[in-house]
Amino acid sequence: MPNSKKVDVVVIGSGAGGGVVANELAQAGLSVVVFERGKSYSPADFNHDELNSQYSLPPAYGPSVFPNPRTFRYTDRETAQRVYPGVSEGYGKTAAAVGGGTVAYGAAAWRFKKEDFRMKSTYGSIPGTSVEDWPISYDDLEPFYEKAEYELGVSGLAGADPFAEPRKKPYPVPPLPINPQGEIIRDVGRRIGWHPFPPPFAILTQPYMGRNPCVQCVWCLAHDCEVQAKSGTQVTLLPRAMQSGKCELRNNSFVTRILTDAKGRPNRLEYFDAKHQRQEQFADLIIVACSATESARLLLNSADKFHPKGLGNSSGQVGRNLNDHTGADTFGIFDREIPHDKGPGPSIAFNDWNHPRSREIPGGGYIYNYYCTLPIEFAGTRPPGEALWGKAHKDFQRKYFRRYLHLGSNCQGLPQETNCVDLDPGVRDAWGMPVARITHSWMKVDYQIADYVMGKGEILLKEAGAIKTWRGGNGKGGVGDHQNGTCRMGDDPKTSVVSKYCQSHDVDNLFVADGSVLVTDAGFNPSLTIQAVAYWSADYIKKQWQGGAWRNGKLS
Amino acid sequence: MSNSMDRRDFLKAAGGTVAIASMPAMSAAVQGSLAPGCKFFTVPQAATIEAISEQMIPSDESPGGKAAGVLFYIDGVLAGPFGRFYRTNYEEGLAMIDATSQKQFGGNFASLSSDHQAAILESLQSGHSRRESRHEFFGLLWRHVMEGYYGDPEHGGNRDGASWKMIGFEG
Repeated sequence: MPNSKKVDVVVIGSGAGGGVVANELAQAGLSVVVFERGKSYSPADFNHDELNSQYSLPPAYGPSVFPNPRTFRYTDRETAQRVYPGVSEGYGKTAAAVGGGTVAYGAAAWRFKKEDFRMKSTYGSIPGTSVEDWPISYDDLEPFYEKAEYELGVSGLAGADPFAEPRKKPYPVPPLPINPQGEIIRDVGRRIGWHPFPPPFAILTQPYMGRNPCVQCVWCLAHDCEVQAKSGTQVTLLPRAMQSGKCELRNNSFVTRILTDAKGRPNRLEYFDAKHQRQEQFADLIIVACSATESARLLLNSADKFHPKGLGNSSGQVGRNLNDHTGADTFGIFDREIPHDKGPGPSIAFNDWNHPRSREIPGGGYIYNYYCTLPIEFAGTRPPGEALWGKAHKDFQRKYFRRYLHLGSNCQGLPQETNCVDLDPGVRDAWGMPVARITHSWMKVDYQIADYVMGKGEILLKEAGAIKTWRGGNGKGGVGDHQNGTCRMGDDPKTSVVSKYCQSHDVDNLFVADGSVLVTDAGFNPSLTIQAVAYWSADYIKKQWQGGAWRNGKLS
Repeated sequence: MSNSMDRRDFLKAAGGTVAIASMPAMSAAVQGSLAPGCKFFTVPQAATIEAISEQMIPSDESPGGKAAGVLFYIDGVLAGPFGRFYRTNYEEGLAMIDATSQKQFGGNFASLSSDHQAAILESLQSGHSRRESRHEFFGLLWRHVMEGYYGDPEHGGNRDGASWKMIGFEG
């Protein structure tokens, strides 16, 4: 077979985590093949089009809904129904493309806080949740956060957020300019005793490592970047990995199973190539980085006689603790103009309500002025009681599109063991494999956290002079582009899937490098933490490899 | 709680149809002649869609849904690769709207007075907000009308970028 020549490492998935490990290991001299089910996009594919974005229906940037559906239910008392990302309730918004979710992400590039790694120690056991401490701390990750920031070119202002954890170096590039919305909430926030600062983004504000800075268009969120200022792995880490001469990218290639040798040790992948031909690829080391849903599904679909519950699943924890953020958006309309045509939009944030010192809520989330509002999005944004169509709709759209302020927040969702990915008993994909069945619903405490933060957002809007404010909300459940938690890291092989280095407890040459390993999700966007953890893991892998581990089937 | 027609409402509406998404699309060609410029809608269906789009976004100093070409946007969606998710909804939903219009006011939706048309849509919307499954079509229709009116003209609606001029959106 043409592709059966063994390589040192296979990485399944080219997104935030996969891009990191592929580049790190290729730079260290290991031969790497990256598998990506989606296709490659270039700046030429970019368009200024609200109907062709990651949030449009159908969503741009994949995943293609036809060959690989999923099923969804809120609880295990229901029969899961077939869902299509972007079309159905309960699942959506995760891109499938070279670069994964980082192709069209909002590029917020946060470091978590110390408490985010110690949720159980900070708040105790929270009934109904599976909140745990991480096996690693902020201090463990600090050098790797720094590495991620410098590899990507994260923009920000060190010391500006008084609630941020200590950092050794400044950000490599300065923060995005403060736009008119940011100026308003900065001034009002200061006046009421909050602590405004420019939030960090994996978006360049000056030339950096051969890429150009942001042109401040309004199309950032959910779109590819036309000037490649947004630091997705497809314009940063993957090209560098390729330039090393040690890394090959196989896109349009769908990995269906990890296969094992006669002793039950994983030694190759089964995949279907761009021509839909079944292939195998041998490797010493296998790194799964398909994001929380598909990584869990791949491990479960790789069950064999040696691993009857799924590869790496002796704990029964693969797929469990599926988690995501709740939204805590607030909206205000004004009788004065508030321009929002300086992208990406967010330019001031507050961490006052993320682990508030009062400990009124377990966690919370940061508050920031949201990405630039687009016209269709605004048509769906109305205060309670306001007409959704007719003359009144049109008048509202005309009057308030430029007199409007939207505050966003990604609030910490608390993990539950019963929220999970498993294999649907009836539905199979185009390759004949069982599809992911998602079970997810929120708990009362999740709504309480979001309500608390939305209350703060409304205070800020009212103080800014809004003539009317209102809140967004959360449905019964469902996961999207911040999905995490299905292959948790931990020290105990009975209660976690991977070690603190993201190595399978069961199988020494299997690693996970994506949001699956997150123990809890923090009130922050996850990508920089996924990447810092991947750097931490890659550092361990490199050292082990250089010490002779895994080569030709040798144990680590 | 907000009464906004948010994304989740819409997804709920669309989600009701996906179980039958694999059914072959019924082609307008077998039911009647296509409306001028359309690839999916028949003449009477197109008249209903135009009237609905004009009710939802009436013309005033800027064009309404009809003049902005919302019909052609929705027609393009239904004729396109993802149309399979929605075609049955539209065929059944438009028939349901006409049947309700006949029953309540004695004529097809497009032939009713503006007040009567508005009354039909209001009753559909109130059914939608009560989550009655037979009214889920309203959420889909609403979203598509807004997309057609405020989306990029490249997709067939928002003729001459009229809605963008109206709200001051410069892109």
